[in-house]
Amino acid sequence: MGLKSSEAIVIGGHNLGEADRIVVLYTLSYGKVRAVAAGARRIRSRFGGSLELFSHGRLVYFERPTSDLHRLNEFALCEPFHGLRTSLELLTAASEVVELGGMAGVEGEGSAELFALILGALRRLNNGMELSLLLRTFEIRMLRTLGYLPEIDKCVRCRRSLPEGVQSFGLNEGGLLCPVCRGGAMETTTVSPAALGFLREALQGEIGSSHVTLIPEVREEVRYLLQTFLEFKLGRRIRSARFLAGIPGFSLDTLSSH
Amino acid sequence: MAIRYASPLNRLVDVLMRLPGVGAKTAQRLAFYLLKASREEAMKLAEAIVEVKEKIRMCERCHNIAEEEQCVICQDPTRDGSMMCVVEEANDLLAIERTGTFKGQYHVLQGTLSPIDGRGPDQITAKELLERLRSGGVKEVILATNPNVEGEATALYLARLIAPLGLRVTRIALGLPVGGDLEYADEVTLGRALDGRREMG
Repeated sequence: MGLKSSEAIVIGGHNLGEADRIVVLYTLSYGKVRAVAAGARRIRSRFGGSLELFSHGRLVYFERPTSDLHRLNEFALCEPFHGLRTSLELLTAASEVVELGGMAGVEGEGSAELFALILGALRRLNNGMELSLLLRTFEIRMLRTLGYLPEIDKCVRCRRSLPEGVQSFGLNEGGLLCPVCRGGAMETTTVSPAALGFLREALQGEIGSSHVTLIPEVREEVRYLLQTFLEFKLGRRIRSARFLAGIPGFSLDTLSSH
Repeated sequence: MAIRYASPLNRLVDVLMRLPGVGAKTAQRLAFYLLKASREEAMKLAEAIVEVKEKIRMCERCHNIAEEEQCVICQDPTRDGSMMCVVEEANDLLAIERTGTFKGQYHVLQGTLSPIDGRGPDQITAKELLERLRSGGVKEVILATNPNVEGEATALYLARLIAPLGLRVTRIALGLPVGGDLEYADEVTLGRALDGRREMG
């Protein structure tokens, strides 16, 4: 109870009543926090533009003991991440980062690792990095943070080594399945050797700095696999990930962020 | 704990409470006012509500609220057909009209794009806007969506959608409110105000 303060990132929000706004934040100390910012939509609100999506700052809120909707007192902006609003592609990529952060975050339970992951991805987007590669890195790190890092070297069920060629990935099992084990698996998706090669490299090190260039088909395959697996594990669709697919002329693959 | 009145009064309080900005106390006050008011006054309100629902529709050109097929602005021959201001909702149109400085046409999008909420272009009147622009006459399009993430996403999308037509596309300025004090301005707004500064003298 009482006033609490933590470093935080704005990961969502919606309007409430006449001029108020419910802001969703991921905080370093208390995990996901939902708080009402009174009068935030008024032109002369004391919050100004600080509570916009992606903003990083220091949050002070009044914790209500009987509700998970708290009262936002103060938000001192550190990084507004202006640059993320300069193209629809960049904005969509950044939206995926905060949306996944919100899906993975837990109320009342801060994770320094998740916080650093979200903030780091926003910073890299803001500094200009190839969008789809950055998002795949983010998705893999997210899986690692959540403890769902897939098994891609052996069969996840029987631990036997796998034959060459196209593999089968069990969503429920969380890894590749050998021809024997895949029979009993409910939901599977195929993985080509090229996509697997990329994933191996990505899991071992920093793909943000690696020189992997992927042909469009493999790029799309890796995206599909990672997002489907995350959606399966988190039990919800990643809306921002599907956003640009329906809009002609826009794609995350055609542009780097600057 | 809700207080129970006689049931017609109860029903009135309940529906009034659903109005924006009206809570239990205000709803109760309004309901008692109507109860005491003359029959004519109460009927006038009831009829006005029915009339608004029956007679108001959407302008087929700009999607503003209208009484006939086209709204008063679209019907007005003195408006400048070479300028078009694109807004999110009819409320925003009214706000711009109140300034009295814009004499062109409008287009009401009836919504915004939002990647995080999965709201795409098919949920706004972007296609209709493009058709209107293609039919000619407009030289400048002013994107006057809200200065928040959704409004920005919408403006970015529209700017690229319109680009092939070769029209002048502008975005409303972001900056300080008139009568404000620099000292109290938040850094985001102040930063934008500096970016958007203009020549003097």
